[in-house]
This record gives sequence, C-alpha cells and structure tokens, in this order.
Amino acid sequence: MKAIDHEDLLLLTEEPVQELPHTIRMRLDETFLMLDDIQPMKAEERRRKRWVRRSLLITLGAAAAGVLLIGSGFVSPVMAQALKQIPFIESVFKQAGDRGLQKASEEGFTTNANQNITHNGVTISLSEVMYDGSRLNLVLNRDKLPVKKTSGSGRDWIRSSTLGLNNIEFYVNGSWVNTGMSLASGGGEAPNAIIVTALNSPNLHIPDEFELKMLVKLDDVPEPFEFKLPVKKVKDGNVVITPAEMKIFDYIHMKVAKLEITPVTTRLDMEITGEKGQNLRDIANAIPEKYKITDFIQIDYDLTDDQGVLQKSIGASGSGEEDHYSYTTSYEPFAAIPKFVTVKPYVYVTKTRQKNYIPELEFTVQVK
Amino acid sequence: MNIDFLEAEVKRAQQGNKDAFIALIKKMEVRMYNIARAIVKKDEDCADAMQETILKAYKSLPTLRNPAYFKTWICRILINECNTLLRKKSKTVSMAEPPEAVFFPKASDEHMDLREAVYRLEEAQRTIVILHYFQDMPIRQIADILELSESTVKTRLYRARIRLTHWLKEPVAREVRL
Repeated sequence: MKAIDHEDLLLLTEEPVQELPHTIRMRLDETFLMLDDIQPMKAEERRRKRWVRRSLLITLGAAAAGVLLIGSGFVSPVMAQALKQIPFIESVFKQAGDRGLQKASEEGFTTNANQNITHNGVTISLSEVMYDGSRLNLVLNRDKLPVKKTSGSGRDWIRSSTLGLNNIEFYVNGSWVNTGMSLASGGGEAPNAIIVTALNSPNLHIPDEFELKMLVKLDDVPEPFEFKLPVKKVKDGNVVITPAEMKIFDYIHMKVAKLEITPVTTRLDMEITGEKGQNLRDIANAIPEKYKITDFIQIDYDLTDDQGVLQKSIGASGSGEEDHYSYTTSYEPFAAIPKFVTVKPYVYVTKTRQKNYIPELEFTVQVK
Repeated sequence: MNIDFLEAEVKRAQQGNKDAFIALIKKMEVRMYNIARAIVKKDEDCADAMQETILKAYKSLPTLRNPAYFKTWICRILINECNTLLRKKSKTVSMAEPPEAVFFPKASDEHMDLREAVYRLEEAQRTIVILHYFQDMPIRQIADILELSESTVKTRLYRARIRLTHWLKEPVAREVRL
C-alpha cells in the first residue's frame, strides 16, 4: 500500500450539516435559559493573564539576584511548569535586599509605615516602604508562619517561604493597578519577613505622590489584610532618557522605550514591535524560533556602564499590548552616573547556560 | 456578518447584553455543531461540549480582549471541551475494561479504515487532521484557533500522515490509545 498522502485525506472531507438536529437545538435553547444564572467575570480579572513573562523574573531573578521572585498567581500553565523546574538556591534565604535597597535604607530614603492588622489570630505588619519612581518596595511581616507542608514540592516551598501569601492587590489613588509583583525572602535574620517589589511593570503611570491601598491575601486566612498609606517618591532628579532610535534585525523591531536612573534603581524599558498593522501574534510568529521558547519571545537585556561593567539585574517583567511587547528590567543602582550605557539583548540558552548576544540589536544610550 | 457589525455585537455582549451574546452564538451554532461532531462523533457528546462552551464563553466573555477574535475564541473553547470530553471518556473506559487489541486490516473500504485510524492519532495530531481534512479548515485558521504557528500545524499534519501510513501499511495488533 502506498503512503497516506494529502489526496487520500482530502477524500475524508465531511459534508457539513446545514441545520441542527432536534436534540441539539433543544439543548442549546435550554443552555440559553441557563445564562440568566451566570455572572460574567469582571474584565479586570483577565488582565493579569497578560503577564506572560513572569517566568523571566523567576529565571533571571532567582539565579542572578539570589532572591526569590514569584509572579502573583497569574502564570500560564506552561510557565507554571517552568516555574516548578527552577532550582531554588540556598542564597535566597540568606540575602535580604539588593544593593539599591541597602543604599536606600542607609541614606534614609525609606519610611516606616508601622501598621499592624490582625485577622483570625494572624497579624501582618507593614514596616519599611520605599518608592523611587521606578519601583515600590515594602516589607511585610507575619507573626505566626503557616504550618510547613512537607511534600517538598516547589509550590509548597514557596508558600512556606513567603508567609503563606496568596496574592497582593495594589490600588493607587483608589484605582486597581495591573502590576506584577515579586517577593524576596527576609533572610536568616528575619525569617518571618518578605520584601515585596511592585509598581515596576511596563506602561504604568504612577504619580510622584499617591495614596496606596494594598489588599494582602493569605492562603489560610479568608479575609484580606487592607493597608492604606500615603506614598511619596524619595527624591527628585531621576535621570530619564527616552531615545527614539529603532533597530531592526531578524524581524525584531526594537527600541529603548525608557532608561530611568534613580539613586536606588536603574530601570530599563524595552519595546518590541513588528511591521505596521501586525498584532502580537503576527510579531511573535515572524520572529525566528531561536529567539523564542514555546512561542514566547525570550530576549533579555544586559546593561553595562561606560566602563563596560555589567549591572546586576534585580528583576524583570513584561507584557504585550495590542501591537507591542514591553519589557522592564531593573538593575542595582550605578555607583556613579555613567556617561553612557550599553543595552545588550541576548537569548539565554538553558542547555548550554550561555547568553547568546544579539550585537545587531545593541544600543548605546547617552546619559550625560 | 460584516466585521464591524460583529465587533459591535461582541462589545454589546461583553457589556452584559445576554441577547447580543445569544444572537452571536446562534449565528455560528451550526458551524460549532459540525466541528464538535467531527471530533466527538456522537450527538449526545456534541450537545455536552456545545453547552459547556456556551456557558464558559458567557462567563468569561468580558475577558476576551479583541472582539474581532470572538469566533476563533469560541472555536478554541469548543475544541478544548470536545477533547476534554474525549479524554474523560477514555479514562472511564480504561477503568471499566482493560484495553483491547485493535487490528487494522487491509480492508476493502480503505477510507473507512483511514477515518478510524485518524481517531486513534494522539490528540495534538488528531485535532488538526480532523479540522483540516474532515472540516476543510485552512491551516491559517487552525493555527489561530489552536494558538500555534502555521509551521507547527503543517509539521503535525505531516507527522500524522506518516503515522497513518505506518499503521495502515503494516497491519499489526496494537493497543488502543487510551
């Protein structure tokens, strides 16, 4: 018998029916009646799902910064799988803040919110807060840690290491903010504390001063812990640069959307677009496989100063909107403001543990 | 239905207009039935999959970002529901009775064999073969619905053909894929 080819299979085309059988018609009519009892979801519930690049901050953050970073419950199944496979290194327990936060603390850029809330016998307290315009950091403490599970799975490990936290919702001046969130362990000295980083996602427009509301949700306490506090940007005089230059290589249209240098953080916002009129999927489809992992663009960004010194990444996130992908990476602050910085995009190859740089898409950004 | 009109209807439905949603579903219910029938075969299963699809779609309609993708989105939910249903059924069978050997003979009705063999392909290949050949759906559309690249769809079709050839060329006893 010959090989089954296209022609053989074409013969299998089914004649489409033009009318629904009676039984199906009845079931559908019954289904339409059932809609009265269904409450459609709120539109905002969907937005979190767009944060497909949470995994980036897991791989980058956990390995590079030695902190535990977790997406707040909106990872896709593929990403969740990837998340489980990340080896958690011991240093996540040891290390507390990054250098920027250490500096903020030393130089008095932080405030002490000093708020405690108790539900069901569990007290959550909010202490240090820092906002430098590029990220919000705060410290949460839980008096009694949840019972540790012993299954040894990554998820249980995360739960027990993050105070049993389920999620935190952030509201700025009363409006819910579609921000990512990452958590770092308080370290050996403060095992009941975590450092939360938020408001560092791309395309957020946060004012210099605002009223912050936070709903902290724990797995084992049904009622959320609601904190409210005024937040003010630590210091004016951040350097903000928005170069217009666009580079195109291998169908990737890339630009530096914003570089923001604060005393506490260096934040890089990158943008990838495609040809005019292309939507997110068209853009991703056009880009060769070597830049993608399971269809997601996986380009990360190294940043060096004018001496060629590689800056330490402390977290990253990304999202897609209509016709462009936005990626934000935060780095520890510069020792001194450089004359220029170089942005070096690369793809991390897990197998070889190597960064494959893309020199064609390298940017030099003048700072002074 | 022209695209602007469709989008306007989807937006109305997203704002909570149940009748707009029903009108949209009614416009594509025959198409939905044809797809469901090609995958699950039995009317009873089609009804279950379609009902579940409509309820789920209504519930999560406000999460649909681009109204222009409404039809693609509904088809995606439907195909998932059909495949979920098949998976559940195969599990039930495996618990109720041990898998039996299946023989693919060189029977006189070759098409009949081929069609049956398609249903024994693994899910990822089977769905694509059914949509493309049984339902005459273009590769581009399948790629959109299944959120795959066109090249992935083509590769899977190619692999499915190889598998089918292998099966039908060398009739041997095999276990049912459960």
